[in-house]
Amino acid sequence: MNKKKILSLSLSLLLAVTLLSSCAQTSGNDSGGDQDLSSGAQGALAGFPWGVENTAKSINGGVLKYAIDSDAPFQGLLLTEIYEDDLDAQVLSWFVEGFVSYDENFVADQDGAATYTFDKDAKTITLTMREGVKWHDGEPVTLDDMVFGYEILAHPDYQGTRFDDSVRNVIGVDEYHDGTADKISGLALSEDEMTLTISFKEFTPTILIGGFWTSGAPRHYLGDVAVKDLTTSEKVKTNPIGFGPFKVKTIVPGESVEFERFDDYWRGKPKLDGVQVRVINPDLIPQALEAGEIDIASFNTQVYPDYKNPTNYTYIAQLETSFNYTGFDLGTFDTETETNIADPNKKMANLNLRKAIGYAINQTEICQQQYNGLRMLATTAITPRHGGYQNTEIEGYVYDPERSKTLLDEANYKDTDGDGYREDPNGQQLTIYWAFMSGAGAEVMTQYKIQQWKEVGLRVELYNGQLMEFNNFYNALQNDEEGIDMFDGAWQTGFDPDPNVLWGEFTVNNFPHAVTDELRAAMADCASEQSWDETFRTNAYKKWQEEFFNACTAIPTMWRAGLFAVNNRVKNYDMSSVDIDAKLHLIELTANESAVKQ
Amino acid sequence: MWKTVIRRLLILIPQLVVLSLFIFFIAQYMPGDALTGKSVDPNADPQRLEELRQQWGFYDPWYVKYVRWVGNIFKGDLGRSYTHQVPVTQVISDRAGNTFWLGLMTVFFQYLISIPLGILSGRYHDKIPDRAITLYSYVALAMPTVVACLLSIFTFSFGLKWFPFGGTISIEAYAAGGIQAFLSRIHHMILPALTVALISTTSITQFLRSEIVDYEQSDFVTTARSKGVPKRVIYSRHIFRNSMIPVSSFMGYSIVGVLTGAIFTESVFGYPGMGKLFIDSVFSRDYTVVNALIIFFAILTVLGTLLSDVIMSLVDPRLKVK
Repeated sequence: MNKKKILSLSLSLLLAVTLLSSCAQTSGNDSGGDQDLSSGAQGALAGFPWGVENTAKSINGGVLKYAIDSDAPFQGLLLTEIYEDDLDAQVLSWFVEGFVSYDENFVADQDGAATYTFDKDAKTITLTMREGVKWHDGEPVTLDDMVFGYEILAHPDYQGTRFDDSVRNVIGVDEYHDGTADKISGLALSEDEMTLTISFKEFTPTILIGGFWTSGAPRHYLGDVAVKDLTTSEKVKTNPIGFGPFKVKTIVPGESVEFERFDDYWRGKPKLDGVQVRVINPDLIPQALEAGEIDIASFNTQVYPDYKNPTNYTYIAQLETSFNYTGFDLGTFDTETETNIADPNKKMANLNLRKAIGYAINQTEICQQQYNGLRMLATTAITPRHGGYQNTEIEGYVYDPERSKTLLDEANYKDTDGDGYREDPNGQQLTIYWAFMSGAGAEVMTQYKIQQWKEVGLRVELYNGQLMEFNNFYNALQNDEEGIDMFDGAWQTGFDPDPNVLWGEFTVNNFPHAVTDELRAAMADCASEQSWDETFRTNAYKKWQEEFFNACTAIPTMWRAGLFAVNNRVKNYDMSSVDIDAKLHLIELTANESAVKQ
Repeated sequence: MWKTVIRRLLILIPQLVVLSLFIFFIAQYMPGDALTGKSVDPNADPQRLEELRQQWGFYDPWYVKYVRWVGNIFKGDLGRSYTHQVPVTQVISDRAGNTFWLGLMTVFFQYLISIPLGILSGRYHDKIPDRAITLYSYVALAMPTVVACLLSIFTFSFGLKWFPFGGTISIEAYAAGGIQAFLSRIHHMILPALTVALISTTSITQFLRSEIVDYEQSDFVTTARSKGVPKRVIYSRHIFRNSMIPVSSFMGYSIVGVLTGAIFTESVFGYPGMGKLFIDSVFSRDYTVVNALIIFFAILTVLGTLLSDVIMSLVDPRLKVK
């Protein structure tokens, strides 16, 4: 669960900067290098490797300089259970690890600090701790520390968002939270604390895909801190410990962290002597890289054209699990029954109209011009990062204005008064009000699209005549504000791309509010008992994508790739696995000083 | 004068009450809340968010929130930041020191630069030095802070490597502590302070210039001249002293200006301060922090104005604070 969360945490940021291009999320991210990518994605990423290739001879040790790109300080809640901020997640990734690791398909594997077995019928997962895993203070890591993690989350004084349905899915968590039990009954620990059996209420096929909490906290270290005091404790903010490859040496609150090598790291002694992590304003990143002040940083894709041929650093890229989409208002969300109810009388209820909107836009052009190919036309709502589940047969909304016009003609959207804009089938003026978030490039993008829609005869205007601030935008969507016919949003799917989470009948996340019978059936398959079979699940996901394309309640517009710049002296840094943290101890340097611009 | 000071401080109380009522009243019209950012995370559990909203009292009417807030203030509790998850007093005190010292150095540089410029400009008005200074003043005035900050970092940090390009202190110095930490802090502060000072001298410089030009025409200067007082003495004794009176009263406003934080400077230099905290809190709807900061800034503004008046009455015995 923690992995899934780490991945999705930068979401709010991501949404706020939907157009702001590169949004760094280094922790727990990967690029799924060996996955089956669609040709579009491969083409776009062809110029960028997943990792650096450096064959020079390594030096002994050395200190790596890593930049967190942000214009705000990190909060410093350095405990997996309580942090909420993406910047904290980036700091955490250097010294904290979960108990379980994940493979390239985001499924829990056996390479982590604990291995596992599961029993579908008994609805249990049994974890077994490896011998010799130590906390940074030398104490052995046991599964009681994982129990302690659950106890923090379920504590009544816990104020974070991570006490969620996946934690409550463990038997006895609710009772512990209510204070009627002093232990979580669903967590059965062995005598030696090296084996833990977790009993769940629901055991869904995707529970192994980030569906349960797999992190922990050192009980011997934090056990004497009251849960309500964790956020202010020195043991969390300035002297935190973990069992990852590096240990915290010094923290300058909000600004920088110095890590030193943890010699007893269970995967092996790290090659670097240490790592310096510091927050740097995104505007300074290119210059700081050229000056050799930093070794690794996320790079703004919109600035990239000005720095195409660096001499002292190289670019690597990774696909993100996020996508942008244009959604249509097709119904309402009934808060009483928590159900999405379609309304056939909505302005956008006509399928041809929605499809015409998709075909009228030259998305590929936008990706090339505005994002230098680091965004790709999204053909489905499952990104190439989840390549295994992706239905590559779907062509997507490839620019075809003639088709767009034909679709509109067929559905009787015709220009009856000769003003260049089509009227609706009843002859009434048709204006589509479109909600779009403000951000860098938003103005250009919206005007370009409005122009393209005009060319097929559709009158689209920004909702309230202007771009919307992030809070305002989501507040309007969540409250079903009248008058928005169409909106552009973004999602990051995390580990499990299960469509039920975003497009299901009973989820508030489904902003279009419409679910067709075909979609309902396809989504039921995705979450069904049969889905334990991987082939069945893959096919179910593919079928759903097809239905989603046909129903067109939303049109995926762009997939994204994140760009990273890595100094020439860095060796063995790559992002080709989900467990990027699992490779941090292998990073090496080939020079004592960072290379500077020639 | 003390009477006046006390009276001014007493007036502050109803002002703060009205201001705080106003903040609470308009806050309810701001779209979204501190959990909006979380609720668009598909993995966030809506039930949990709802629970937190209830627990944090987001659904209470504004006047209920207000009464609770005021009640807590009397207990010395400004509330808890929703984003930072720690008491507001801690969030603010973590940043206040940075802002204070950076602000102080900025004001110091501002006066250090603008007073000589103002004097030069006034003394040689309409001659080449004056024209050059005026030109500089307007360029500085027109220069956006972000551009100035970036330019100075590119030149002095990345180019000449005289100053670090961000942060308040180096990690090594922070760990070492003592004098090393102090020097590192000063070293990190110089570039942002100087940059801001260089582009914010215009008003003081131009104010001082016009005062000097005015006094040159005044009767007592003419008298001094006719008595054969040397030009140098006229400037240093008669004109400069008098011209400084209104300029010194600027001090109070300058201090307020820098203490409320410099959003862009803090952001570009990665300098955790109150200006950036305020803006970030507004965007993340962290109301407890926003409210505390608005009240804090309001108090500062009143105190700054008061300080200006007091300085004025001290340097100019003709004026009495009334």
